[in-house]
Amino acid sequence: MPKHAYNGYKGRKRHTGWYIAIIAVFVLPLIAIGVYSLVDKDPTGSESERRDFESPPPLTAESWLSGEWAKAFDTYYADTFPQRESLLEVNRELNRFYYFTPSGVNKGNGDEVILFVPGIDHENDTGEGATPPPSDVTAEPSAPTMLASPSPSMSALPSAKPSEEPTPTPTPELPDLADNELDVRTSNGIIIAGGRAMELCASSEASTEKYADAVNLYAETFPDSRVINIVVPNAGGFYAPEEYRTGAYDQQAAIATMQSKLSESVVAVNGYDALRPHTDEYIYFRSDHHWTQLGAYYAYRAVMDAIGETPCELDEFEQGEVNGDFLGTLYNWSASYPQSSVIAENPDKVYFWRPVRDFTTRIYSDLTMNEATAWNGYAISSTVQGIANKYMAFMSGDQPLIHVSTDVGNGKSVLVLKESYGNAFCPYLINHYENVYIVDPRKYNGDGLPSGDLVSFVAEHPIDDIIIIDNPFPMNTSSYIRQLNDLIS
Amino acid sequence: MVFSSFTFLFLFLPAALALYFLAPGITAKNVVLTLLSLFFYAWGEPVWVALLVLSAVIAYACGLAVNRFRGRWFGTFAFVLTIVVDLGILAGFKYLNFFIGNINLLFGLAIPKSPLALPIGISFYTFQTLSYIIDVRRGRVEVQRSFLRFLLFVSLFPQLIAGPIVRYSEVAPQLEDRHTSLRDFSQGAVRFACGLAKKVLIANYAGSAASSLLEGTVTGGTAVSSWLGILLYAFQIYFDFSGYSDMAIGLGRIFGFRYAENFDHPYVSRSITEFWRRWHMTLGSFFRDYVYIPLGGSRKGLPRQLFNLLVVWALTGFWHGASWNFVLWGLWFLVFLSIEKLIGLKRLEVIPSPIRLACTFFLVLLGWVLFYFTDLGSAWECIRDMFGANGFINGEARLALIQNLPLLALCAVGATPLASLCGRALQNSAERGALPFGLYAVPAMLFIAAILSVCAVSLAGSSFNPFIYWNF
Repeated sequence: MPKHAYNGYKGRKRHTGWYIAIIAVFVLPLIAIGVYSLVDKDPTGSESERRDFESPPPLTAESWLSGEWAKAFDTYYADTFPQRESLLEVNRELNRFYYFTPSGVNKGNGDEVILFVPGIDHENDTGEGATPPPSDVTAEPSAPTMLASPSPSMSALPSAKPSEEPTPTPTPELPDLADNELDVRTSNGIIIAGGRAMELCASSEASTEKYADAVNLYAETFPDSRVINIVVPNAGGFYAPEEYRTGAYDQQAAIATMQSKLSESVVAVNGYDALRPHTDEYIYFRSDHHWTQLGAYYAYRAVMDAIGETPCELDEFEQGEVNGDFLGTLYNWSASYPQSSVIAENPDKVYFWRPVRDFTTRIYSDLTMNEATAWNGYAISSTVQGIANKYMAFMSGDQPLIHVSTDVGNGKSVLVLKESYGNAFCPYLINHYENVYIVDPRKYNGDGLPSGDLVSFVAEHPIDDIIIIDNPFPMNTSSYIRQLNDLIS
Repeated sequence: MVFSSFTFLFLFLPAALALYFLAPGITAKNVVLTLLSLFFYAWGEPVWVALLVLSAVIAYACGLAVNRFRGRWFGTFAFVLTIVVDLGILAGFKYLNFFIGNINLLFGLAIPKSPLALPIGISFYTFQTLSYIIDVRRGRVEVQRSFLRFLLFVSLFPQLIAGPIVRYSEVAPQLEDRHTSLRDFSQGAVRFACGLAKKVLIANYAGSAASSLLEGTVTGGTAVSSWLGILLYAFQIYFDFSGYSDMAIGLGRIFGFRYAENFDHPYVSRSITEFWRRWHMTLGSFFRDYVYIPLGGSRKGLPRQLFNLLVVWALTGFWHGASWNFVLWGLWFLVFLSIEKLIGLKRLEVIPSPIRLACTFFLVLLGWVLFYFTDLGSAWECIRDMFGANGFINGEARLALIQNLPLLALCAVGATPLASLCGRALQNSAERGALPFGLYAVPAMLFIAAILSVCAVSLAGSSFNPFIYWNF
């Protein structure tokens, strides 16, 4: 080697071995693992993430020049990296440092919050499961696979996100809020406390008022129908440590505030009061952001009482259990943090109560009810593939329009406007109406979504009752409220 | 291709090392390194790699012309042509939509926006060719007659994407001939591991925490969450950018190049003047040598100096992104640099050092608010939030604070010179023979092995991996 390379540094001979050793520690693992990664057998998917890996597209001039190939290769190579599953396991432990909890993993049922992660983007929630957070290793399957038979055209359904609202800014607190359209910032942190994962929902008076306006508009638009509204809390509203269910997070107050803005012509049912007496029952999943069908039952009772119908008793139904354990969205969201093991050790079960009536369920891709693109759905499915998707057992998941025609024979029709909380609720209605129409506002009037017009729909299909049922997030989500309004304007 | 990816670490890098060190002789090594660099760039920019080569061809040919026709009109023409092409590339790809947007706003027009996306690293390589042609014209460097060597200078993959901005004069001798000693290689490896750790183990985590706090996916708006968010962002941007520079310097060293340092622990600065001597040093010296001094620097009286500073800092801001907030960010520093100049740094030294440090960091943090929010309305909201417009703290802010405490501690320690001072002291003592060499070598090996393993773990667990400086 030429002399100048040493920069006058002496004693090189003595240290040559050491330098080679340092270089070897750097280079040899890279080469060895690199070579091994090319010759090993690549897995086709990940069990812990419940997804299949996508191979890169064929290498063509086009796929290369678009940059698509390189990007897909990076993803595929990272997905199929040797021992990735073990690395993910170790990464969970590493996250103990980056998502620090003072007392470590608390397995008790205390009030202490043991994990806090930013949550789901409800502004862009189209119902099919949101996109996982970027720093998370877990991923929801993009299209949940079902054993029950949705038609092949399911995947052809529009899945684009609703167009974006103006970026919301600061956090208002109940009850004194600036009445400013931009003054809403949805909170959607997820906490784990007391053995369950919960979404925190901060409400703003401005937004709840807009929601109430939308409901009132329904009552105005359909004077011949009875409009019933029920907003039910999520699990955080009952089980979050006190600090996270009071103040801005106070769902009882938010629901009451919203209801105080409803017009006289709306039948207002207080979902908080309906569920409150049953909080020691299994009314919410611990691992998922939804309620159980038992929780939905108490909401159904409250609705029936409010409109003077006699609700069915639980033991009138055939009760059953969906196959296997259920670890839902909130577990998925937090699976890469060690604190979530408290959820995995105690997975959920999905119980259901089948309608007693005979019925058929058809799913339509929009409000025109075009038979050519319709397929058969289900109200309850006892078999759902995938541990993460069990809530799909209810009402065929989120669909643009479901029509259930029953043998009730009373000539009455109900139109339900709902997000996914409505899925567990709707099967109970089958016992009371000849026609149950179920509409998900998130599936209309957005980017790449079909346009929907409920005014002409109701003109064609006379409706006795319109039930608008939501959890607290839609009440605070401007895109949802807009879509609710767009369906009738 | 990003350094902090499995593809780079376990496929490209080992292959590059093997090919490079197996290639016999400097010309073969140059060919190998150039091809590797073009492939590296094309991985992320399969089309615009042509622009890089074109820009190199023009600067190379014009360099020859400037040299050959020195003092004649054609030489001047070639010089101006290179400047126009380089700045034209920047204007066309980076600033066009900014200009269109402002013209539309000003005159109420509706000129359609350009669909061209910003090619990676364009701000860095255009500045490198600019420095080359200016130095050739000034006679400060020998003209490069070999296109291969020139293309290698422009495309060299370690610093191609996010700097440091390498001057031609720094690497000219190494393009002709260079050697990697075992010491260079081993120290380059340690340096690369430092940079990788900064990027993967600090910047990525600080970045995801910062954006959830500043974008309101966590209930934001309280003073604590806003300060925490901007603090984490300050650490993200420092560890991301300086980590990239470390990796570039380390890799450069392995391939026989010595790059200038780019960061020197800027957050321990006790004045804004000092901050800019420690932050993105190659950019600062570029503007000093090619804009400030040619404009007359401080030699033409105070008013002219202030004007020159205004130009330099507006440009420094604008270089970081085609948006007014970046210009304001540059001017924000100009205000305090001018104040420091007018009062005199010596006179400021009566203030105790910890207070100066705290004030400087405070001003830098407020600067990052301007840098983070391209929309000035949001920046103003954030500043109001920081000063309590939405309350001091709430439950989520408290949880976010507690959860990020270990990361904050790591950031704070990592931002001081402590670790690098210890490392250098150990290395120097060992090399001088004051310590057994193993006391340096064994920790170095453990460090490399630990960083590579933990980074692999973290990379496996993360798909959040953007290099934020790509867009500049």
